Amino acid sequence: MRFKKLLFVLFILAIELQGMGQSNLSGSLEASHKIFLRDSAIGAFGLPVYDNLLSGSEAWLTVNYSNVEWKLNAGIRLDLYNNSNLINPTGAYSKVGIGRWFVDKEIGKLLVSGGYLYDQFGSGITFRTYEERSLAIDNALFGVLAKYQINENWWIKGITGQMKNRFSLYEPIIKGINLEGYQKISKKISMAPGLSFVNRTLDQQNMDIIVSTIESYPATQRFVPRYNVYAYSVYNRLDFGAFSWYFELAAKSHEAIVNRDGLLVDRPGTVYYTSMDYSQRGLGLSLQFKQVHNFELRTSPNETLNNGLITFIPPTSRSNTYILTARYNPASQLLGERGLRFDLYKKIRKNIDLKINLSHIADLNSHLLYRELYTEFTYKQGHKWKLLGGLQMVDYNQIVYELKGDSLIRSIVPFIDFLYRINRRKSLRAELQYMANKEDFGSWIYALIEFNIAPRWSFSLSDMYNFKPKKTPEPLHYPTVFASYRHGGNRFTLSYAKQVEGIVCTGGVCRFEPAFSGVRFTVSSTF
Amino acid sequence: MISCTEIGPPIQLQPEVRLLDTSYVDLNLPPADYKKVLIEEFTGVNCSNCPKGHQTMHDIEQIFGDSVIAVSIQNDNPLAKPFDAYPDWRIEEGIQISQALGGSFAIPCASVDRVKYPGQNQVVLYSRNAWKTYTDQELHRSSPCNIELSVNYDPSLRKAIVHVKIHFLSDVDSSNNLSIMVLEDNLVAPQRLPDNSVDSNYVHRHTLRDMITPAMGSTTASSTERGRVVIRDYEYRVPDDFNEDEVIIVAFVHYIGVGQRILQAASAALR
Repeated sequence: MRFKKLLFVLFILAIELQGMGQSNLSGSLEASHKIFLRDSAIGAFGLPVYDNLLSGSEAWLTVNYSNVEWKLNAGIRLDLYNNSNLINPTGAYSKVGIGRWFVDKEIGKLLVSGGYLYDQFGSGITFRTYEERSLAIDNALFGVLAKYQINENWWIKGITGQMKNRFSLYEPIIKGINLEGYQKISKKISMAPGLSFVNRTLDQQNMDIIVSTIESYPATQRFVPRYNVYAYSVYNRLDFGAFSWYFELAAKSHEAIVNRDGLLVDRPGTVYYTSMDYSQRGLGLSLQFKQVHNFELRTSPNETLNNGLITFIPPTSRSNTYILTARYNPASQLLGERGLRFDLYKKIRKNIDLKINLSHIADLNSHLLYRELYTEFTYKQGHKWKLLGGLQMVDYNQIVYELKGDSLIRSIVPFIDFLYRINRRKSLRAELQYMANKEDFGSWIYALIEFNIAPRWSFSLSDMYNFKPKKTPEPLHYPTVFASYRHGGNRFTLSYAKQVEGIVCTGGVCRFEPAFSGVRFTVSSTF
Repeated sequence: MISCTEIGPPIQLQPEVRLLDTSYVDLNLPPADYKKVLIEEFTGVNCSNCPKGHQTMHDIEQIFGDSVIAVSIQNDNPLAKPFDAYPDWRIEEGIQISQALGGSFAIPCASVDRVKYPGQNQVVLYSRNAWKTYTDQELHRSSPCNIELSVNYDPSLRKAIVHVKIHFLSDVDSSNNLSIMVLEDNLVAPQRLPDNSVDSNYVHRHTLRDMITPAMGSTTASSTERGRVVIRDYEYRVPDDFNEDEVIIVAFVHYIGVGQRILQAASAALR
């Protein structure tokens, strides 16, 4: 009841403030409703949402206020989960409440923010708080941030608080400080250096669990755990002409972390990350190297999977968009990995583009974890049609990434995507993909046909066909029928889909998704 | 001395010695034992208000009989510092328990089954009325496990074999531990009274003297599903300054961390 009154007061206040100064009220709504249709053939059964509850919803309603004259911004977001399987894909979660609120105000050179804060230091290795709804990640820091602009080029910021855990907070306290600047050395050379420092302090209850766990070990494996962990990094971006070089070196002090055997061990950690880019008209090159060793930085070692993560390790592999090319994704291995990545983009002619990507990830003993060769070419015939095609070859260590299955999955995926513009408003697009795979689910064919009537309508029909199955007795189809309508700031979609189980990743952070069968309706709106 | 070096938590770096440690599943479930409540009172020999706490504990024992197991813990509050020339009953495990339950700040206070009640910032309760109220409340809970506790004592060697058998009657989250305390009853030593005088012959009841397990206990089993039986035998040498006739062994199963509480408790006299 209290938070309803708070919402009402804030809403009225926002309306009143709207009339004062140069103020602006904006917001967005994202909502989704699913009807679950049981399908035992694809494994979409035996869960509460399929057997008992039959439907579920999620919604996020955000309202933001900004006043340029007052240099004030504020916002509030209502989160709703009704029998939702987003938080826990094998369960059902129901809760409604304020998912986020924040206020920030500039006072001279000082910016002060309070509430649920999203921020990062450098590339995020020592500290990153963000929201990724598809992965049910929202690790905002509930606290205070102060950022001081030292001069035109340099600023320093400090942050302290507790990390969000759904509608409550993790008990450990997190503090951090970040110094960053920009220096123009010459007309063509500039650099943007930075330093970061983060401290996490455990609470007593988490420490009690850690102590109790350690005390169940043989004497040779016991150690004195620490309340505090300290992580620090130094980073710099150097731009010189067409080249850009970024590096970040991070380290953290000894603390109890969970090793691959599920045991607590006392270890420090390091991350070395560097990327070199070359970019000029019609040509882009990128080379990236990353090494991670024992960099499990969380609110507490008692948290697992994506829970309580303070660190964000940049991914080494590319983010693939075509459904069969996105089947195998390597999650960043915080305990140890070494990755190398090469990207080439070349405009061969005015209407022909070429992309090549090579990724290679191994553990610190040089055992292969992931390897990808991705090639893509695009040909445009004026404004009339476009043909995109390519080939992906992947080696994927399923035991490491999914804790199951075969050691090395090898898949080859040729694909084409053809877009034909019928006229200024109507277009037709077709995709065809093939996966040759002797492991896991076996081989697949994917076909999609999409019809668009710009700017409002889009329809598609697709099927992912497991024609050479290794896990089911018979070949299975996974069809999807999709329609969307867009008008102004509103977009509505309706789809019927069957989806195979798999790993969903964004930026090297992944989670398991069980098979889905059902109808999905979504609304997204901005105002 | 000025220092910013962190002092880690108390931790047993040497494992407890178990003569027997076994576990199996027996779905022939016995009838559930009546719930017993453990009250841990944090107290101090120099604390003038603490005799009132002792009286409240005595009253609770009178009302609820052997459904209640009382433990008095001399903790790290300055008022627990012993009188000169008298034994120091503060032990590291008692201090660790006190810090975990929030009992060090002000005494007397007590925890009832280590439950953190609504409106409380810490587990311990300062209101002595609340000790009785919540004891009554906890006695109405059912327990998900039975504990059999027996002690076999050889006075010639001052060696006790402590036998604990836990039988889980329903699925219990595996983050549960077994703690075993060694109490000594009817210790005579000075105690400051409410009028600030000192009674040199005060009788201190059920005082925590030692623990056989680490302070926060040790894991019962990796899986504590319905039917799980855990059996542990410990050998314990009773220190020479303990009065064997007054020694009581207390065993209890409890959750740790967020949601901590005691699931069941049992006590047995040494002889």
